[in-house]
Amino acid sequence: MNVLNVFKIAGRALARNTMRSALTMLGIIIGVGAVIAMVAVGQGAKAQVEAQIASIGSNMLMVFPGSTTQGGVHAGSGSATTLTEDDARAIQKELSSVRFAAPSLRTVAQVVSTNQNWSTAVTGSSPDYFVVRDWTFESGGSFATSDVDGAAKVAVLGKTVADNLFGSQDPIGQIVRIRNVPFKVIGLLAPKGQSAMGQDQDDTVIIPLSTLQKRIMGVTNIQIIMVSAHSPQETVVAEEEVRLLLHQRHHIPPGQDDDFSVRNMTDIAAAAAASSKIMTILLGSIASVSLIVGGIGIMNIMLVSVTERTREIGIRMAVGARGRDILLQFLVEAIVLSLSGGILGVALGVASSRIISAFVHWPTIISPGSILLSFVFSIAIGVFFGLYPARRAASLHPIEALRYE
Amino acid sequence: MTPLIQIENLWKIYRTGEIELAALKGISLSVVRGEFVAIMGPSGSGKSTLMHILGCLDQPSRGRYLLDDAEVGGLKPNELARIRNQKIGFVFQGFNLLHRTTAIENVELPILYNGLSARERAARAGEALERVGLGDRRSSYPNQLSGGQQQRVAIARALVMRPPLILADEPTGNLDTRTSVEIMALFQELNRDGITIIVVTHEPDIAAYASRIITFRDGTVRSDLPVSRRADAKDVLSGGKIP
Repeated sequence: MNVLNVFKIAGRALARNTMRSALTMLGIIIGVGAVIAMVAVGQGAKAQVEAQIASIGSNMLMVFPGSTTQGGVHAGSGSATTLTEDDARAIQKELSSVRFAAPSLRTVAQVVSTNQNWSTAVTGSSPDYFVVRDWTFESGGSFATSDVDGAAKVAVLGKTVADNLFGSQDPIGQIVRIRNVPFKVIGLLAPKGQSAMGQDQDDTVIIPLSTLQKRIMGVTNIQIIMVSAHSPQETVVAEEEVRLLLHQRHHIPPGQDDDFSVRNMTDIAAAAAASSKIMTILLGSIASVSLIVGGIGIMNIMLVSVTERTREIGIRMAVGARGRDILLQFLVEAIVLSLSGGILGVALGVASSRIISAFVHWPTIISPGSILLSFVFSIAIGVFFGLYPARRAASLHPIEALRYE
Repeated sequence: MTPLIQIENLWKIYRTGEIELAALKGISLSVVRGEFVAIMGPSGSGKSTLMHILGCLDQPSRGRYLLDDAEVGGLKPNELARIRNQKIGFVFQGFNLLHRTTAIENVELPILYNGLSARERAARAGEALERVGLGDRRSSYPNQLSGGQQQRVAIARALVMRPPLILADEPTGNLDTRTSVEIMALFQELNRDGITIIVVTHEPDIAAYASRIITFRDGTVRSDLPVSRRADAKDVLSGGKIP
């Protein structure tokens, strides 16, 4: 019996019970649809997390000052004023694993243009800051090292700040005032969007570190040193080297608490990526359960079908069908059910992913892999759950099948 | 004439738990090519069991069965299926056509399990339907046909593989008298063309169209006699003896 005929017979048998076939398929449709949509949501979330992590900067370490103790009261981490610009310079100059080390200091200030004002985070740093954080410029450019040395009054604006102060106007060359000090805008950063913590990374102004220290805040310390290692593998080495160097520079004897702390952003990134991967697996496996339930539905209907068509099986056997032919007939029916359910389920999954993206604004990524997998999986379900009923049909005794009322 | 069917000391014993029931008790008989045999006997006499064994739907418990000079006993289910497909045509009391399947497709069914090309399949099925006088009802569904027409479709299906043997189990049991005679006329015609026919029946009128009558009782052959005054179904029909 050739394959084409088998499919023809299967298609006809299913078409005879349109309603029943459709309802049976529904289980697979929903199952496959759910798997594709859930994996799309998971992958979308993962991609978003990865993009956010990439926006922090690559191979990053952050060095924070330690806590201070006054009269037995511990202030929070970062309250110490022991970290200096010289520490940053030393890290960059002396450590081979380090590509850049950008000192930074940050305050919140009102930024005023001619007719608008905006409260934002003002960061003072060196030109390396832009490299370490992978910032690119939409227009204009960075300040130079000479600007840092000379405490020049120049500023680079984030997209959000520029939009709020200047609207659609070009901010380059304009003057903004920060705590009454006039700054010339020399650069506009390309937008980065939200950080992994949900902050708007574009709501920022960056000026030379010395300018912030001397002209605005009147301090000499810094808050963070952002360190960029040469490669992801070297972040671990760099972390250790930075620690050793700062021990030396701050004269911390062994056994005493550090007056600084080093955080490896790659670890945080890896943790975030891992958790979003777990979410994808979790969502996918919950959805797979519905696929299996759909498969059981197929088995159920096929068993009913075999019982109903016992006499047909008997007739076919009487005219020369072998057990194999009967097995194939019912197996192909189950596969046609699950495969067409799978195809419709892919359509449903793609459609619902689009709907989730459009209405809930979750990013979704439909990977060809998940489509292929659900496809193969739905065929496998057809074979797995169709085999038992089909074997039952094939093992019927011709006489008993013919006598069946 | 060489025998088409040769059985020797054939037994069929059914076991249900402790109880053994012998449906056939050491039957021996042979049927030559071209014979038209009627098998008669009360219910439970073993005639249906014999038909199942002759039709390779069931295996004997003991004894030999040679069909067309080949031993059938001990064959595997797949080999039996092949014999049913090529050497035997079945006709049943209840027609046993597939519902919602056209006449021509019902007739094509045995060829599906033989692997002929689609064109050859349609040609042979069409030919078989012509032969039973239903050339114009190819696309009719069983429920659009009368009982007699349905039985003709079933006969066409039995013929389509051109088997040497047709087994009919009470083929006229569900038909009125006139249609029954028409069906017997068709069988007689096929028999004249050389096909061996074995019919199981309750009715002596029907058995009278055969050339030989074997009567069963309690799993044994009670009588095996040639029909002395064989009826010709065509004459009966044209003679106007039937309303």
